[in-house]
Amino acid sequence: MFLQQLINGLVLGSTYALIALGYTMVYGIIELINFAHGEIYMFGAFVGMILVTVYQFPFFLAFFIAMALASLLGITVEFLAYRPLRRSTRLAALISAIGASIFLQNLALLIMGARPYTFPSPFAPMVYKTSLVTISRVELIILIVSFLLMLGLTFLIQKTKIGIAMRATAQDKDTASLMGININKVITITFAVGSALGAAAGVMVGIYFRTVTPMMGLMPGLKGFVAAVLGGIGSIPGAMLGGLLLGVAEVMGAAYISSQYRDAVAFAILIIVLLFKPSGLIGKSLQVKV
Amino acid sequence: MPSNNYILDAVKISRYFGGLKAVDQVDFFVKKREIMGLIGPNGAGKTTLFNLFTGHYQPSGGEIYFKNEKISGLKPYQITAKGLARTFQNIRLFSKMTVLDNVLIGRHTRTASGLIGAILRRPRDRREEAEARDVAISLLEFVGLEDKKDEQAGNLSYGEQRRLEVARALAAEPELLLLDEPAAGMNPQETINLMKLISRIRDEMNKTILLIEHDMKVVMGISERVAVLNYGRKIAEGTPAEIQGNEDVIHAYLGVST
Repeated sequence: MFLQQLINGLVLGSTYALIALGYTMVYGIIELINFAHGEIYMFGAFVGMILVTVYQFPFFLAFFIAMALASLLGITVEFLAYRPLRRSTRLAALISAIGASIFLQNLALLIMGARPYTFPSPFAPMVYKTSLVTISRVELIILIVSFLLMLGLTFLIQKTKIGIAMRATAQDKDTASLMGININKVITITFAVGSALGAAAGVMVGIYFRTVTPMMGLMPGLKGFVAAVLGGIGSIPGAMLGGLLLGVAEVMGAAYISSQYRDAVAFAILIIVLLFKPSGLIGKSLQVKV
Repeated sequence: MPSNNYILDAVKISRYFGGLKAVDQVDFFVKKREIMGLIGPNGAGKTTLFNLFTGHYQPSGGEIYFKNEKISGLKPYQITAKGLARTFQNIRLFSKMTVLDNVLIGRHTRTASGLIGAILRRPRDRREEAEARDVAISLLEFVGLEDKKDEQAGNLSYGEQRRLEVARALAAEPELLLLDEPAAGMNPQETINLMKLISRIRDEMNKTILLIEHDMKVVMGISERVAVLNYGRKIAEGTPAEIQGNEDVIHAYLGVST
């Protein structure tokens, strides 16, 4: 029972981790909580669903196209809603983010309607059983794909030129720009990568729960944010750890307390973290710049 | 547009902050392959002048030419790409990154791979990465930090951080290197090593060097030409010997009114 819940928690948590990465990367670079990120996730799920059901695309092709189109949407949101406010107060950009989120939700409602769409699972409903745990094929795919994406991201950030530029920009924008780094380009790439990961989570949750709706980004968006704060906002390993922990905590809460407390567990964790360790589990403690 | 063999040529350059004339109508040039010193009392406008050259500030008036090409009005990253790099008065390394990563950042403008390259990792992207790494390591050898390449930059000693900044600036393959108080806070031995390093950068790497420095032993010891700023204006220019005998300069430093 416990082991089974742990697996379920990790599956859910890995999707939270992917969403949390988008929040934490954007925060790391421009100190903005991108509240429209949940809608990027929803957009990814819709693109995946439409490509698979209407156009009969193979699942993984649809998956990558959804990631690519979501990148473009993320870049567009940054360009239209955040870039003009780059030099204003952080509150202005935050309000703009909430506005972008509501706008995208309603745009989706307008275009797609309020009824939920089914996202048929492209994989045969196979389950793998051992004496201790049962795991379905979809769950296994979610775990493996999330793991590979996180591995890829870590490599991108740690080893490649663009990753080094991103870390440099996060640490000191002025100096980074004097090193010849084009800050606007780094911000664009950050939104592109974060949005692609969010869309990947959206498509996978779509085939997991087999439903896609315009409002589906709201709750996972908030949970991804909680996960990012739990791990330490701005920290990439923190977002991964925070997502997995949150998923496990939520599933355990649902299993051992009551499934109605699922969301309450997540937000109780947010409150506790903010009260006792506002910098998160592996976040850097807040430093005052001189 | 002026045409001459000056690598850097500023014509009547000014920068005002409100009513303060930080740099006021300064004509300034640097010849190819020379080591030039820029001195002046605190607040004379030396660092402001550097910031104008690197595009960090936009001039309030005047124009700046680099290799006979106008650079005033360009963004810092564009100017860096043209071959002008600098170090900072207060060390500005990426302290939480490794020594090697810091030098790799300096190489940013000299490599082409972007996001697509990072994801696809074609052979030429890999080759470029390996090349950047080789160049970075050879620069660390040049400044004597190769055995510290995996340490966090923030853990280096002060003198080492200064040398790392120089390596990082050199990684951009600049033709002109601006050094902002490179000897500040160094002990005498470190200062001597730094002077040797600056000479080697010119002699072995064929660079032009412009440095701001308060340590007169350094400026007068290695510069071929020295310019003096005071209250945003250039009050003298010449060989170290000429500058040391110039009355205006002595007055500026000792505060005697003329």
